[in-house]
Amino acid sequence: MTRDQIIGQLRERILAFATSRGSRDVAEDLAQEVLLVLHKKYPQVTELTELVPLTFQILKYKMLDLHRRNLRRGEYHQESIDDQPLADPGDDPAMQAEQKERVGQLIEALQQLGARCKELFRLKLQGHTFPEIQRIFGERSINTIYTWDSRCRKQLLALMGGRWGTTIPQAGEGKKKTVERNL
Amino acid sequence: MATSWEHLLGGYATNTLTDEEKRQLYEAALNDQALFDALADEEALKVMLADPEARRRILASLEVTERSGGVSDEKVKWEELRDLLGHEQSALHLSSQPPTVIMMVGLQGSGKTTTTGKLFPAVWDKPRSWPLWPISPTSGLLPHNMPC
Repeated sequence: MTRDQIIGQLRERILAFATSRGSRDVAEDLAQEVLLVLHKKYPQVTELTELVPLTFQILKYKMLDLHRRNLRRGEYHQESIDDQPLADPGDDPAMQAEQKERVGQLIEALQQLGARCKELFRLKLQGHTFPEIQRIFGERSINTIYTWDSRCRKQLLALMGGRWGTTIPQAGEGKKKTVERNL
Repeated sequence: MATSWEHLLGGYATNTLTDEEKRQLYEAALNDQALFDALADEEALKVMLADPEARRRILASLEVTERSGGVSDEKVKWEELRDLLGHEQSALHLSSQPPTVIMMVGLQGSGKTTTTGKLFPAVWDKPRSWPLWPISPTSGLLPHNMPC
């Protein structure tokens, strides 16, 4: 599959994903911005296994960026521009604090999992692949490891309240809506 | 039953998929919106785990648990189940008048579905040809290819 073919399919997926979380116009802008970054900054990336995760990374930051821009423009709360602090180009301290809190929540959630799930997560964090984990557990079939991991992931996600990420309001909506919801 | 690609999702955020697994997952994501959305959502966990300090804290918490040497949940549940159901093995008694109801009991991941799947052709091939109806306590009657 060529880079152009991959990007063509990625555009469709990004558009559908962003539309499901906001308006069509915003989704089209978002998709355009992601593709622009891929085109301008990463023309050398052609492999599927690099392009797809790179796209997710850009998409996440573009969504955060959009949220911050909307916040500054007062799309969520009609407040005087004079009351808003100047935009900091660096990491948002509120986001950093929330991220730190989410890590704490993840640690608490992990403690509630069974021994096998904890061990699986620990091995994955240490960088072991599924085939390596299969050997460590002494299982005959890798499907057993996949099944265990899938169930552990679902349990962990439920313990995290059904989402891994932060809560980002949608443009044009007066209240918060979970953007990074999960299955 | 998990969707075919769902079993690879757990390896995305921790970045532990092999090249072949990545290729399978990303190819599927290009053609499957639900998978694409799931992976996009998984990115938040990936970002969290990419932070070396967060990773160190999480690993440390898991290693403390391991060193504390507590009895695992699975072991406690297994012993409770064994005490409840009995320590002895006995032959399977099939009713002369169908149906014969067999309850599969086991911990998560212990192989209930796999064993049922292996028993199915053995029972099916018998002259009596009894059908196997997998039933889930939560979902009711399931198709033959669904987990019990």
